[in-house]
Amino acid sequence: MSNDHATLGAAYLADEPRVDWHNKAVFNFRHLRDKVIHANMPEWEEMRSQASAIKQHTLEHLDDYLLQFEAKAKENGVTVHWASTAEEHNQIVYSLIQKAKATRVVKSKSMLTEECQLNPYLEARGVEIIDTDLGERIVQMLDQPPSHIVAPAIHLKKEEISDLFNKELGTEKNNADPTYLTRAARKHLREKFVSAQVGITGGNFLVADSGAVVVVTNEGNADLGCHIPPIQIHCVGIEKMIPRWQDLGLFVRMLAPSAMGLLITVYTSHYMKPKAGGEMHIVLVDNGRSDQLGSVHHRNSLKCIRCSACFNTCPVFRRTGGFSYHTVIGGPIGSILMPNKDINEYKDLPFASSLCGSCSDVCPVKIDIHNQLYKWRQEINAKTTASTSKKIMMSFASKALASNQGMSRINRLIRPMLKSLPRFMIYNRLNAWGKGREMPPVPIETFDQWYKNNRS
Amino acid sequence: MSRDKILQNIKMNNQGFNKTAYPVYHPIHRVQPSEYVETYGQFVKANRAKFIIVDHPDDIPGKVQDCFPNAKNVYSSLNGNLVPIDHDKIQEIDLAIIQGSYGVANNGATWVRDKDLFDRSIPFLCQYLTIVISADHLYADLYEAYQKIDPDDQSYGVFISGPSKTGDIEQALVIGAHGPLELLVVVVK
Repeated sequence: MSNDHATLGAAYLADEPRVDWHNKAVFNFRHLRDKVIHANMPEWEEMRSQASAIKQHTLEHLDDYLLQFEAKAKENGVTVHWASTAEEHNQIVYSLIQKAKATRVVKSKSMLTEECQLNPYLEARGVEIIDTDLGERIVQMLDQPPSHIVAPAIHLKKEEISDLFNKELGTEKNNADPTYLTRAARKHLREKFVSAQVGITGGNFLVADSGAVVVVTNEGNADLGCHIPPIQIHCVGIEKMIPRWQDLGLFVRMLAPSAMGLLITVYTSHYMKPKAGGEMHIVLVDNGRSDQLGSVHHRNSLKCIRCSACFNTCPVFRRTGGFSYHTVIGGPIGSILMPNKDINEYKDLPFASSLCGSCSDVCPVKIDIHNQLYKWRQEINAKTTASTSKKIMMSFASKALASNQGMSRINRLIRPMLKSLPRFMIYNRLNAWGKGREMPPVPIETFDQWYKNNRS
Repeated sequence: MSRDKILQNIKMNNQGFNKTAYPVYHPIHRVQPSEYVETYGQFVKANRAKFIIVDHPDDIPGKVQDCFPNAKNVYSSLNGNLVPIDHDKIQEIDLAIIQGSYGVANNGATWVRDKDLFDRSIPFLCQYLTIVISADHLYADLYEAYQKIDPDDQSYGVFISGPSKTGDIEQALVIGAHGPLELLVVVVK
């Protein structure tokens, strides 16, 4: 595989100053997260247990809660659609746009529509679709996917955005002041908001007992997109369900601190019924989620609320960048979600981890991400062809390390070799570990020898 | 049909897993009622909004005007008096003054419901926003506030905690993204 995580990550790592900058920028979210939680939520660990237990219960009863949600939403005058696949989701959204004879659509941030590749689908059919989150608008103009699920343009420097806006929006050349650039985008996007016929959002939570879709933003773009155009469409994955309105008191409280270290986002919007004279649609999307429920080891991953805390803490994500995961939802959580979709395409992702476990520690719904990464490695090695060098080394190592005798035999064999062999014999393709690392110096004696000489 | 297929698949894949009960939780309310106004005000300010307390509703117009001396086109719609406004004129509002119905002491967010709005887009399209809330309508935290809010009683509602903002350009905090550039919260004692 030439576009696997290791290859893409190595290419990213070649630019060391940028890697350092990216690492610090992403870790800043983790730092702010810690600060806000420590200062305001001493019961954080109990909240995590509670959130995890509610999600567990919800997944076990997901069919019932979906039905309850649908009934309530219908009662509220909302049209509910169901999509098994990404393709079906795109068709439903397009048919609603067609019915409205709409040509301009505004969309606030939604990882689900990224997952379904809604933009290219609509563009191919002549619909102008404008991403309205500032970060998403920036990457859309660059024809790039988001590199981070909460901060889509975190990989870009302000000078690059300044050049882009100079070209696309006619801002002053070399003016990279973030306020100046944001104001330019505000002006540009306000024109889009007031002229769009359809607004699309994702959803952070679906509430079963009240039929509500909850969407959080800081910019106010989801609300502008829903309140101005006559038709609003919310595209949401079925796993975003929570049972009760009351549960929002817990989940809303946990989301913004986990995501970017805010106590709460500026806007937490609750859509229950269509506005006067308007239409409200909800598209419930499966796209592999109900299959993942059947996996004993991986069903837990469906608890995810897409906060990105695991991205921000991950030493691998921070240094290899979002694009090295070659999928829209990368990072630790993406690395356990994506192999379920296509084990061959994403067999490299569970290996894009040091298994340090920090992802699991910060997860607000207690997904055991690092255990699942480990589990996926076993499954992938059993089901797919791992890289040849890895296979050779692993089968060699497992034989050598399986018995005391094997271990001491290999020790006797390798120690003099490590000292005397030329570099290219030791640091080559078979020794992936030695890429970018030096082997430790060979000690004078083995532990066995030392023990015999000193203690027996 | 996809609906049945999805529901069927969930049922099938959930077979063999325990059904746990809905868990019980007792939230800890840390802010005491006597501290609501002060704590709420602290968080409103921490969220980069302005905060004032008035003793009487009659004081509101003057105090608000003091905060936004340059706002010419002022739209005010308080106490359920939904002043009609032409849809196309909303984006010309400099300052909108609207009613908030529940305030959250431990994060500074305020619930605005569409019952109190002539048009849902008013708090988002105006350049500057003022939310007025009665001191009696402050609650300790989100748990308490969500208990008070009846979702069936509103068709749309939003917690607003500050002026719109973004950090999408190199994480530099910029106040004033798509929504209002400034927020003023007024508590009426």
